[in-house]
Amino acid sequence: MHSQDEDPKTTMPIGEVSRRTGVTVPTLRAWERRYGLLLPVRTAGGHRRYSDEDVQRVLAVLELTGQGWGVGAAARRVASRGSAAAPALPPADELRDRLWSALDQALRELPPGTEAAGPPGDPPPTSRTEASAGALEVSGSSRQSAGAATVRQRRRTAAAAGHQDLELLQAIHEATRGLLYITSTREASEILIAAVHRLGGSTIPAGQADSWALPIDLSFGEGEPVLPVAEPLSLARMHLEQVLPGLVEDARRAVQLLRRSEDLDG
Amino acid sequence: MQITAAQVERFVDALARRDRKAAVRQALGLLEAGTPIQDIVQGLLARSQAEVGRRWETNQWSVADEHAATAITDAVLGVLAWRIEAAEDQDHVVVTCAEGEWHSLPARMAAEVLRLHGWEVTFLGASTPADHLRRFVAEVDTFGVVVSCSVPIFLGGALRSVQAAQSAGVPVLVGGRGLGPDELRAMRLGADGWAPDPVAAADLLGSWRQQAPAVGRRPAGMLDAEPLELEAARPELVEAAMGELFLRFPPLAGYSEAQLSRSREDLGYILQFLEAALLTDDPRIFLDEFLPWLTRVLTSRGLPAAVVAVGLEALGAVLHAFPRSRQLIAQGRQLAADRAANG
Repeated sequence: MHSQDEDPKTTMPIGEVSRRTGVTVPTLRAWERRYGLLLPVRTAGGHRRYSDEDVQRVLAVLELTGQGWGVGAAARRVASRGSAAAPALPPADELRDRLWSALDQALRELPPGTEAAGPPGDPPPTSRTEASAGALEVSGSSRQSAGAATVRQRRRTAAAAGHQDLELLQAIHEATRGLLYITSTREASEILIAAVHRLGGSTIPAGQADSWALPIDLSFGEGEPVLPVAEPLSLARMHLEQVLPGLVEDARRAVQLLRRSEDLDG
Repeated sequence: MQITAAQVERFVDALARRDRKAAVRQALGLLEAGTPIQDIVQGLLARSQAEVGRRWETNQWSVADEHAATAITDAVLGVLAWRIEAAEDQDHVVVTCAEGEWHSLPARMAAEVLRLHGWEVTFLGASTPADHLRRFVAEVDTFGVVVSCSVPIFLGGALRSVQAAQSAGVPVLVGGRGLGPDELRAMRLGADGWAPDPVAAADLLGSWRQQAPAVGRRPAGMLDAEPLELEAARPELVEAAMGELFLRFPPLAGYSEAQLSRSREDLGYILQFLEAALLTDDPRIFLDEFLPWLTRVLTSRGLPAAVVAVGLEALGAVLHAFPRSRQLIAQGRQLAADRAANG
């Protein structure tokens, strides 16, 4: 049924499947490869083309995950029945498995020594956050926006950073949120500087930087360059090293968007 | 269209004036005149940044000047990036800086050139911890990982980044000035490929579509544990070498606390470059790249060239337990002496 003579209107590039389903291209590829969920035909030039049926199968997987199915189980189920059928309730086993694997993941990601932090029987804070992050992931992965994997990674980064993970998460969240509302480059810079301080570091004009400074400019060319500073091997340093690369990229993106709209305005 | 030295000079002038708009206008002008984006990136932006580095090296520009210039080049790259038409139905690659490497502009240039060549690129930013990279790569379906390393002292971090991506079964291409002029260091890190510039990286990745590399050859560079032991002992070695330096370099007694701390930093740098040279078993890192660079940096800041030789001597005196390091130090001293005799 997947021949090259198929009606061109029903074949589309993977980007179109992504647009219609809200699932990113890398994720679609992964589903294709791992679960055989998508059944593309090849054009004469070797490009893969997808059909409406592929879109329907992806939507069926999203529907199942929306009801609490794990992505793997949902994709395998949809792929095996070949078309989008009526959704079913997730089996209890499946739910339990997923809870266990979220917990397991959380425990594996704890920094050494954290296990002993809480009283017996009381899960350490990291595992709680990670488990809830894992739960979020179920709905999160059902409709991945561009960069969703990056965001998830960021969250894990924060969660893995130790017992102050909640504080870290809040700092990242507030900074990222602030970046959505900037009206000037300077505001982006101020948000980053505030985040550095909140994470236990400080900032210094690049001209006075010493060996404790991280060589990443937080000013984006607006005013004097400013570098974050934290004592080597300190907790603040560790947090900055984990969080700052991604946060600065986000800020850079926000600044680029802002400057682009300025360009378009004038 | 070839980008001329005069155009590079004009761009660097805009950087020197901190005139972002002029820099953007120049780049967009070239684009409108038909210069391909990748030529602007490699021929104008990368070359200008090399000049920025040279001006810092020779003490014409401060660290602040260097960062301000880099921010502008980065903004120009951002403006060019909007002009890239993202191709559809292409494979996904991850571009990242080596663990510890905070210079992200070269990696960002590579990311944009790869997008131009039709790759879907996730750019992870500066210094990504290897463990994060491993988890990220395991989570997304990616064709390959590109690791950028600009300064050789982060080759140890690059090694960890390479191994992290390979542990997820994904082939790794490495590039950047820190990797040197040929494939040797990349091979010693066990990377699956090396590229001298972003366009070459795009070509190599493209060739992997036809013939995927066998992921993760064993790193040949780790002859022994000496680079790791050296890294672990670095703080004590610096202190011990400071003691030797006091004996060999009397002016040190009159140094301020800040100056002494600079001297410690310099000794630490010498050791870090030694570690990188041992790690990749490539003495050029230490002898041909680092020592001449350090000499230029120090002499342009008013220190006598002999200070490098004295520093090497002090370190040589405390490295009894590190035979390969001692040998490299001896070669460095010999080279410095020869250069002093010939120059």
